[in-house]
Amino acid sequence: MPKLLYFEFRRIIKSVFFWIVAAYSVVWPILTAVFYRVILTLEFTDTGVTLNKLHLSQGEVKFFTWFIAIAFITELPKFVALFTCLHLGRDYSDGIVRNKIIAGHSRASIYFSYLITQICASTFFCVVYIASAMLGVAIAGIGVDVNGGEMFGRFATGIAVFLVMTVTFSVLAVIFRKRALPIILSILIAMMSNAAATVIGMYNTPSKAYDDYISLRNEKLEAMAEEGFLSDAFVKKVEKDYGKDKLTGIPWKIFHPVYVVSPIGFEVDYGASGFTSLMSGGSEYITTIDYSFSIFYSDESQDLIWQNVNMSKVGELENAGDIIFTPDSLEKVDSMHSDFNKLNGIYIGKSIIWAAVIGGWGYFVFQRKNMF
Amino acid sequence: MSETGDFIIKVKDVSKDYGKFRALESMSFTVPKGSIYGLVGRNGAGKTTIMRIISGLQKPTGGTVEYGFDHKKLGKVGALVELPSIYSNQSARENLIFQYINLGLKIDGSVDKILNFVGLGNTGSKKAGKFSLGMRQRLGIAMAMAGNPEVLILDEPINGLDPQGIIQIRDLLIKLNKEKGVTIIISSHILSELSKLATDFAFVESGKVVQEIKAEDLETDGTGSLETEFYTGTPEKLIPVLTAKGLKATFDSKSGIVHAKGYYNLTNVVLAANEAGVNIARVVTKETDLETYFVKLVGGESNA
Repeated sequence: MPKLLYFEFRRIIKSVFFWIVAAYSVVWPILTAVFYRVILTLEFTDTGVTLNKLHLSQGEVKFFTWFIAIAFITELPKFVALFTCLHLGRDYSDGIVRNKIIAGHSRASIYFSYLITQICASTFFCVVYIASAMLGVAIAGIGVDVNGGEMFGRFATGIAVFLVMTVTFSVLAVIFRKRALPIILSILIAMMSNAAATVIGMYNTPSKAYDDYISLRNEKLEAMAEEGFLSDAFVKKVEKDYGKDKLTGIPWKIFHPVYVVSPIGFEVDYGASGFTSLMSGGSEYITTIDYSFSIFYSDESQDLIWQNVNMSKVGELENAGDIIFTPDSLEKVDSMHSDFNKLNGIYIGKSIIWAAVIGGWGYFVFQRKNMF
Repeated sequence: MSETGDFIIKVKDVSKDYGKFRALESMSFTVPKGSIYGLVGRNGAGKTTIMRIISGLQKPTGGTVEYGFDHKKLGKVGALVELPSIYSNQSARENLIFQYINLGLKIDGSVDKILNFVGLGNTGSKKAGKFSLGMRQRLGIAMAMAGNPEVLILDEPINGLDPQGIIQIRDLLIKLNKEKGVTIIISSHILSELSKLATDFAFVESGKVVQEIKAEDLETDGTGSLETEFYTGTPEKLIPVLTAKGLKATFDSKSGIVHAKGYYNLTNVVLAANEAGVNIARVVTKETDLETYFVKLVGGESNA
């Protein structure tokens, strides 16, 4: 195995495409940082275009540090897919796999040398991208803040998720003899991964959060009924008609299990969907994930409730705000929040399992494969 | 599986199925140490399949392959099955260095020695992808030689080569066999070339070895029996001499030739005829070439 690892590392270092992807990993995040610096301060005036002075809060500095650096998860997959498939595919097209077997190496050594070196190459690209992003935000004047080092835990999680894709590309390249098919499949996977993460990530809310939401909402509705804000009949109707199934819907039942068992959804949970994150999540570095808003605003009963509230009764009571149900009512419900340290562990765990499952399947196929 | 002996490879009752198709059927043969062992057979007879099995690229469905050396040691089996396995975007030297790393060998002066041995010492940084077929084959052989292999398995190594390329490869293989003592298992459709190289033959037909034969035995029809034509003015004197030597001799009065067939040493026969006062003008020994022998053995066209 060490001989094959040395063989593969030497080949990687001699690969022109490896250095092209590495160069991209250096240049692109720096350009992105400069781009955002310009966008943030660009002003069109009657006399022309000026660049204003940049004023960012520390939270915003953290956000841009994270947002630009974590973009490797959306920017690199297509290049890594191409690199992996071309690099490993050459061993088939030039017959080197046969050479290795004839030389006396086991298929296990050959397979795992491919996997290990590709994982190392991908990790290298990610680390270079992150380092360049840091350099970029520093050069652009945005500033660097890694939240006391906590951000590195998230980067490590992102790399773990990214490596699942690398393992997938490697397996495809190794099990298909024809070079074109794994290239097409890998690029498709790379391009679809972001979209899939965005869709699946929307269904990230834990089941318990819905249960706790319904429980608290109904409790509050009963309190509102007691105070005369709502009628008992209406409360019963809401409790009957707007249960968990109504709140979550069929897509939740389909997609949530996918979210639970796979590392898909990282981009949404961690605000790493590139520009989409900026548009949807604002420019603050979030420290906890809050599900309460998404549940509250997906609950159609809320419109109905407000249409049926006796506003004159509400006006009569001084502490009405404490009784009425709002997203703030959910603030102290544990299941409504997710801590990033815990989430890092979950994602890393899922990534390791998936890499092992996909890599293991590839090994099974490779062991039985006809080498011609 | 591995034991030492005067054989390098012993194939015993090896069979190979591809789904319902049986490519090899109880194939058995023994490759003597230091030989150049030629596999002769039609397309689809099973030559490439057995070479793949011997080189470890495929597992047999049944039977065993014994090696007369420690074949699990890296590089002890060198093979060039169909096309040479080389990186087309690397130079000859770089390809050989990769093979050295593959085998865990120290990269030293032997790299250049091997390149010179195969005649690729002056290719510089030229990429292997730009090599002629002959050069690629020679590079493939150089890579197969890297680990000082005990046996070299070559499947159609001269296919597609021009006459000069064929001569180069032939000379290289003979040099390898004689100077480095490498046993070579070779298959080729060009039987005339194979006959110039091989010391032993195995005739393969429908997944089986139908006959193993030494090159010298091939010249005697595989049985040691010679067929010879004697041109003489005194056939009546010659026939008793030949008969006394145990030969079956007949005189063809139309052509005036004496035909003799049997097991004998030609020099002794000619000397005996001289002593009997027979003047022999010309002797023609009918040698059996590989192609004729193959056709005779398996029948039909000589599409080996």
